[in-house]
Order: sequence, then structure tokens, then C-alpha cells
Amino acid sequence: MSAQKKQDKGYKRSWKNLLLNKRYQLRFTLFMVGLSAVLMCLLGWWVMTVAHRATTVAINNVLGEEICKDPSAQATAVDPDEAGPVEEEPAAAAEPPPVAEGDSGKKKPVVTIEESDMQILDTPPPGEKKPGGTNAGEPPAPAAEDPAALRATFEQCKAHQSAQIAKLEGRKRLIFWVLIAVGSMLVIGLLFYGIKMTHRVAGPLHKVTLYMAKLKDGKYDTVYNLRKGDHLVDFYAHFKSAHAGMKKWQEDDVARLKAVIAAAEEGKLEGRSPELAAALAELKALLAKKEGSLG
Amino acid sequence: MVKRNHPPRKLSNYLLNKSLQLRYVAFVTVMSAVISGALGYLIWRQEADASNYVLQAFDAFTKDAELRGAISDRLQSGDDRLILTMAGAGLGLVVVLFLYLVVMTHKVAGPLYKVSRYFDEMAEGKLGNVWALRKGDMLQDFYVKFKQMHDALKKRHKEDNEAMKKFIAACEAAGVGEGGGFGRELGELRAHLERREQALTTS
Repeated sequence: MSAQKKQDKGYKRSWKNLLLNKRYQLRFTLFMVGLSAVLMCLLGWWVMTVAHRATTVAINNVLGEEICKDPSAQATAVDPDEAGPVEEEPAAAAEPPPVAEGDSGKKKPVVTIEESDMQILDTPPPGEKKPGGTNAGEPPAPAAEDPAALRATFEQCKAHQSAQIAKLEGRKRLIFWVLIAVGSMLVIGLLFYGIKMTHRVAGPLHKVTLYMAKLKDGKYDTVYNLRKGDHLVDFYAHFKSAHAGMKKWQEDDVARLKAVIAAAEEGKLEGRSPELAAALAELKALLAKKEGSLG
Repeated sequence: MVKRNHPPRKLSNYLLNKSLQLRYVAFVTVMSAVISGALGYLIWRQEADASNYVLQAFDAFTKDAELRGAISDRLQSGDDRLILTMAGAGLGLVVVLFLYLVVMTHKVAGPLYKVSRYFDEMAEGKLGNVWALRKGDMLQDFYVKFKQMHDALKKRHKEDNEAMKKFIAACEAAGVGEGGGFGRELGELRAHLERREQALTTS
């Protein structure tokens, strides 16, 4: 009993030995990993689509809420080809959002989508200040029509817009990398979990295989218990019974042969005939072999 | 390896080793259901938000309650249809996955079940015939090793029987073993040999 406990304690799981039955373990693990990877890719694709749409809406919102007026463009009635994309984009996006006017001519709020959670917010019409005065982060309006001040305001406005857009793009990138990290963690985690889980089946099978090899070679060693947490406990119990059954044959044979040989020697049968002597010698050899196999 | 016609797989026999099979099947199915559920929830949220957006945009422009109701109903029915479609697809995925995994794990549980039955026979001291696994079964390597062990035991069993038979035949030829202590032991050996022979014929 103590020897068995010692033996059970002696075998600990080692990461090096996790892949005992590669074909079985990898088949099950890779199926699980592949399936979750496909589902995660679909999920990731969807999340990125939504994130991209939300970012686009939010960027348009930034460009629409805060229209930077280029003083030089205003002064010289610029050729549209020379205006460049930076100036042109806000102009396109700056197209005032649809504002409905009722019969009374009263303006109604338009809706915009908040980029983080796609919530719809009431947006004050362009030119109208948000409650609480100046919108947070917005540059203050120039006090006078001084060209230098207008230029400075324009630059400040553009810088503010760029920062906002960069922040939004950064968030989108963050979502992408978080998805990649989560997906990779899931796949790696499942890979290890799958191998560990299947190892709990492959382990007992490996153990049974080793005992079967011994039985094949005619060695009837003691069969020790499985490790804690191993699966196939019932299967292993069947194997132990089979091993015991085969061992019992050997023990019965030994007992029977011992009795016959003892009786033959007692009766001095060896001298009766050379065939009998040879058969008796063979029986003795068989007995020795069987005793040796029982250890 | 002797081949014989195997009975076809029965649906009721697919869960041969419930604890082994259901553990894996349940894990993969639940995990897929969770990921699909998260995906479905996101799609539903997106669709619901889009519907709300349309209604809020509508409210911003007009107060036509009748038209709003019609649009709302249409959007709602669209959302409901989407939920049903996604629930159906999710359920279909889970059911198909469940069945597929039961079949897949059965290909492991089947050979284990078969070997267990041979082990039971061996536990009773019987060494009958070992038949081949079914096509598509897994654990072929393990089964080959089991069969090699079984064949070796059987061969040795037969050789031992031959040695015993030879001794009994030599005793009979020499005219010994008809009575006395040795005769009794020889009778016991004959009975023992008979049991050993029976162990080989039973399958």
C-alpha cells in the first residue's frame, strides 16, 4: 500500500509529456481551437465593422460640429483645386445637418451618434452653443476680425480637430489590438486547455499501453492506480480486472505445475521413459518461467 | 486480423462513455454558444440602435404619429425577424455541433468500449478472438498494441497447453498416473488443461 502510494506520488504531470497521443489529442484540440478561432474571427470582423462605422460617424461629427474657417481661403476666394483635402473635407462634412423647421419656423434638434457606444445624442444646431456656454475643448471665438487672430484660431481649431480625430482613430486601433489580444489569448488558452484535457484521457491510455507491453513480454507486474484527475477510470478498472484475470491463470498454473512436478518427483517418474523425462523437464522450465513472470 | 461484418452504428449507442463524451461535447458546445451568443447580441444591439436612430431621426423631422407607428412596426418586425433568425442559426449551430461532437467522441469511446469488453473476457480468463475496429474509429494505434498483447497472451497460452498436453501424453504412454497421489495430481492437471482449452474457444 505504501509502495503504491509512493508510486502514485512519483508520477506528476509534466508539460513535456503532455502530448502522449498526438493524433488523438491534436485532433480534438485543434477542432476546438479552430472552431473558436472561426467564431472569434466572425465576432472580431463584426466588432471592427461596427467600430469603423462608429469612428467614421464620430469623425464626421467632429468635423461637423466644429467648422474651422480658413481666413486666407475666405479672403482670396480660393480655387477649389488648390484648397487641398484638409480644407475641403471639413467643408464637405460641414454641410449643416438636416434641421427641420416646423410650421412655426422653430428649429428642431438633429441627432448624432456618440462614437463610443453608438448612443444617439441631441446635437445643438451649428452656431448654437451647448448648455453651459462654450463647448468643452473648443477654442474660444476670436474677439475681433484680426487676420492674425483668425489664423491662430484656425490653426487651433485644426489642431483640436486633428487631436479629436487621432483620439478616435486611436480608439479604433485599440479595439483592434484588444480583439487580437483576446482572440490570441483564447486560442492559446484553449490550445493548452485542450491538450491538458485530452492528456487526462491519453495519460491512462499510455499507462495501459505500457502495462500491455509488459503483458506481451510475459511480465505480470503490479498495476498501480491512475493519477488524481485522470479520466477513463472505469476503463482502467476493466484493464485491472483483465490483468488480474491473466495473472490468476499464471498463479493457477504455477500451483498446478508445482503439485504435478512434486508428485512426479516423488514417484520418480523421470526414469520411466526418456519422453516422460523430457516432458517433465519442459514442465519444470515452464514453471520457472511462470514463476519468473510473476516477479 | 480477422474481419467480419459489423452491425451498423445505432443512434442510441452513440453515447457509450457518457462522462468522457459529454464532458468534451458540453465544453465545446457551451463555448461556441457563448461566442455565438456574444456575436448575436452585438448584431442585435446594432440593429436595435439603428432602428432607434431611424425613429429618433424621424421624430426630429415630423410628428406624424400614424407614419411613425407604421415605421416603428416595420422596424420592430424586422428586429424580431433578425432575433428569430439568429436564435435559429445559433440553435442550429449548437445542435449540429452537439451531434457532430457526439459522433466524433464516439469514435474514441467506441474502441474503448470494445477493448473494455475484451478486458472483461480476459478478467474471466478467456482469450477469444479479437476483431478489427470499424472504419473511421480512432485510437487505432492503441488498438493495435492491445491486439498484439492479446495475440501474444493467446500464443503463450497455447504453447503452455501444448507443454501440459505433451506431459500428459508422455505419462499415458509410460503407463503412469492411473492411481495414487500422482494420478490424482495428473487428473487435476487434465481438468486444468480442459479449462485452459475452453478459455481459447470462448469468444
